[in-house]
Amino acid sequence: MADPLLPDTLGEVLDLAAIIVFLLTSLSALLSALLIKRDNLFYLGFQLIGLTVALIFSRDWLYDMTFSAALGSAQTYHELTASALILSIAYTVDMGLKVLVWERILRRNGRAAVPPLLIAVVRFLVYLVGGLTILQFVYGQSITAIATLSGAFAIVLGLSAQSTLGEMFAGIAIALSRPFRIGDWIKVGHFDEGKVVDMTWRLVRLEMRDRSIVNLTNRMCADSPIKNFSYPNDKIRLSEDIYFPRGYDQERVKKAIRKAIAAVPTVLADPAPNAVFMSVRDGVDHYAMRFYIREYNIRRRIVEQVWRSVTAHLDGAGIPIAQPREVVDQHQAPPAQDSESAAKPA
Amino acid sequence: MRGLGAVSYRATPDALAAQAPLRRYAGPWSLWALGVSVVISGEFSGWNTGLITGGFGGLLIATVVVTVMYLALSFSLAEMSAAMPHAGASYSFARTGLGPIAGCVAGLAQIVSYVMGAAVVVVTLGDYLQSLVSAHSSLSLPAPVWWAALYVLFIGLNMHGAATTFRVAIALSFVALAALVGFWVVALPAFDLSLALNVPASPGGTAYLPHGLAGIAWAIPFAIWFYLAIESVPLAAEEAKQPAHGVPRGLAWGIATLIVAAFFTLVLNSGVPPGAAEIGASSEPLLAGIVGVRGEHARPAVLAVIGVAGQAASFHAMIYAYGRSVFALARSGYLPTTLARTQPGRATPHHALIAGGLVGFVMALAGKLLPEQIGLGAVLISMSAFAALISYILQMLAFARLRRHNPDLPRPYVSPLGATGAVTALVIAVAALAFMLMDPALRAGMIGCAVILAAGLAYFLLFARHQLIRSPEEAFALAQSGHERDALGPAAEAAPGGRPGG
Repeated sequence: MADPLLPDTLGEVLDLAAIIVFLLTSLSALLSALLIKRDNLFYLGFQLIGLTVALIFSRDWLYDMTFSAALGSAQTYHELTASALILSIAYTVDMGLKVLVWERILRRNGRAAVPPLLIAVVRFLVYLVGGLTILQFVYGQSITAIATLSGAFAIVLGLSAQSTLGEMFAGIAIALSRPFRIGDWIKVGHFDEGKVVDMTWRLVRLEMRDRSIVNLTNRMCADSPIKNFSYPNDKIRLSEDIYFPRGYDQERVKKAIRKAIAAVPTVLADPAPNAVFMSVRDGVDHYAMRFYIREYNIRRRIVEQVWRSVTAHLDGAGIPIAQPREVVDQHQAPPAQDSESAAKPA
Repeated sequence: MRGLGAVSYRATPDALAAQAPLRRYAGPWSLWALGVSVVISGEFSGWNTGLITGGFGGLLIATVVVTVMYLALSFSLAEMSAAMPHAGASYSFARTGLGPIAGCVAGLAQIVSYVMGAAVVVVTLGDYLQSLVSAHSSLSLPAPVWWAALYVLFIGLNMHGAATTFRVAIALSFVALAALVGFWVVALPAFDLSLALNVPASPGGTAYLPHGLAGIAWAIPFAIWFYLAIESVPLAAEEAKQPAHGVPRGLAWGIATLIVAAFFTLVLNSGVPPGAAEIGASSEPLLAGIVGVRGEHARPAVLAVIGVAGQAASFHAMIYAYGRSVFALARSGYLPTTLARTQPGRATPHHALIAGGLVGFVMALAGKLLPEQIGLGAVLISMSAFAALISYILQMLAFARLRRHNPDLPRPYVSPLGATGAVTALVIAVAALAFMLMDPALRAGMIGCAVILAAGLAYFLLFARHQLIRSPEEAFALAQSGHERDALGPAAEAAPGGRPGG
């Protein structure tokens, strides 16, 4: 006599196949997460969703065959499998955020990790939404009160932690828009330029040239213009003014300057250094020396090297450096007449 | 202290050093044809016994599970083959991931699977040809004559060159697939689900699962026939024009074709007259189905093509597969190096092809000469399946180990199923092996396979491991394990054992 509990339609047989496959793949995802790489927990989420869906579809025969003694009613089976499906979805979202967002998008190129507190908050929210969904749609419990309570709690929490949350979200905005990285030389707003040494969920730390540390809040960074000297362009152009007496051959002067700058090893050969005739001013020829460097952190040392090289080359070429002079003519006013005679024409 | 895995190397023999490498010819379609043709005889027969052991529902579920295993296996092999494009395939992967002993066992298992598989197929093919000739003339040749002629013909085609081999594989694949499609077209109008459910049920069984849930497990070894030997595609890596591109595509297209073929064949062949009970017991299930639909008048020409096409395609591809497997192991010194010689001007491993053919012929002959109750044919079938599963398990372990310990290994192709896919294939392969071990009917095959592997391993441990050769597979494995200097240095050096590359 046939066992009435075994699958006995094509649909039920396919349900059983799906259950077996997803059980095997869930086990495999777990094993590969344990033995190879934890990223495989993300795959586990999908396998669990598939498994719970297959269990839901198999309710008509699987409950009677396997779970009737343990669960007591088919309604309990339905509630448990539906809850498991919702929790599986929440778990998959959680793992997807972990694998794809926290540990990939927001953590590459040496950026600091997202604050653990934020991760914890997001995880809590994901499972909270999952739990509320189970209460509302599986067990038919109204979540209005809980949602209201949660909303009120969120308002209280938000107001009391307004500043902290603002910093946190500004930090996320910085991490997503990537205006700078750790190690970059930047200038934030009116502050002096410095090197980014740390980025936390609340602060950006800059190391100044004098080795002092300036802590800027994330909101200050997010609200201010940021000049980045290192990223995405790592070649920075510097410009120095130089003056020569009137009358010297411009091509000769430019050639001497270019040659002098190119002799400095820390100056980039490409783009090539250049000298530009700017104007005649204050009795001298005004030129700008332009050159590119990569190590912005030692730019003053490089400028010094450039000046040394330029002065040495110009001395060798017999071209003197001039200083602009402003000529102030003083006119001797004629001796003053008496006021009346001065006021009346003769 | 050095373990049994400690190996040492000798200079490459002059004959091997001087010979030309295998010739690059195959594109993705050639590799697809290799994968399809080597498997396709399994669509024609072999799988149907699962209808008896598991019923239609049991075999259907087993086929779904086995499909998942082969899908995951194919993607994992594609990843490893693109990273390690060597003729050794399973030997190369296991050697790099798990060390020389595992590499030796995986390579030997691969050879056993293909040599025994070819011996099984040649017997069936000989029977088909004899019945075809008998229908048109009074000529009757002894079966061994057919076998010898078939071996000579197909080894000759394989020796002629890679281009000929792949062209023949493509042609035979299309003919065999056309035969299958023709069967589906004939069977579809006559399909009746109740016929698929006519396997008598045991007490407690149902129409879909006549032997209960256990029937699913007993059907798994037969569901494997739908895909058995698809893993031969990576063997062509050294003959592929662009292995990193071609092998993954060939494998993906091949497994997709076979999945479609498997489910259409399983469903339609089970549901046509005379029904699953007789189809399951038939040695020619497709022919039984055609006769059931069209009557006896359908037999001669069409049925002969159906019968011969699938077997010939698989026989041709299996000869290719064992030839490359033997060649690769011999080139590395695990087998006598004369088996690694290639034919001047044609760049095909003629010694390996002939040696494997001789062994296969002797096995087929032994099956005929030994008493029928021994059932050597069935033993060879199960030996082939056992050996394949052992090779799958070792390859998937190698995949997992390489993913864990060599994450930076350049991988031109990455499996979309990741490590989870490889572990899935591993878990299902272990389960299938366990089910086969529990079946008393398959135990003789398991013992035969174990004896051959043990003998090969003993040869390796006693002799071969002291005189390995720095083949591409060995050099790559040494480089990955951090023994690059060994791989590039003077000829006779030792590499520590017990670990990958050791």
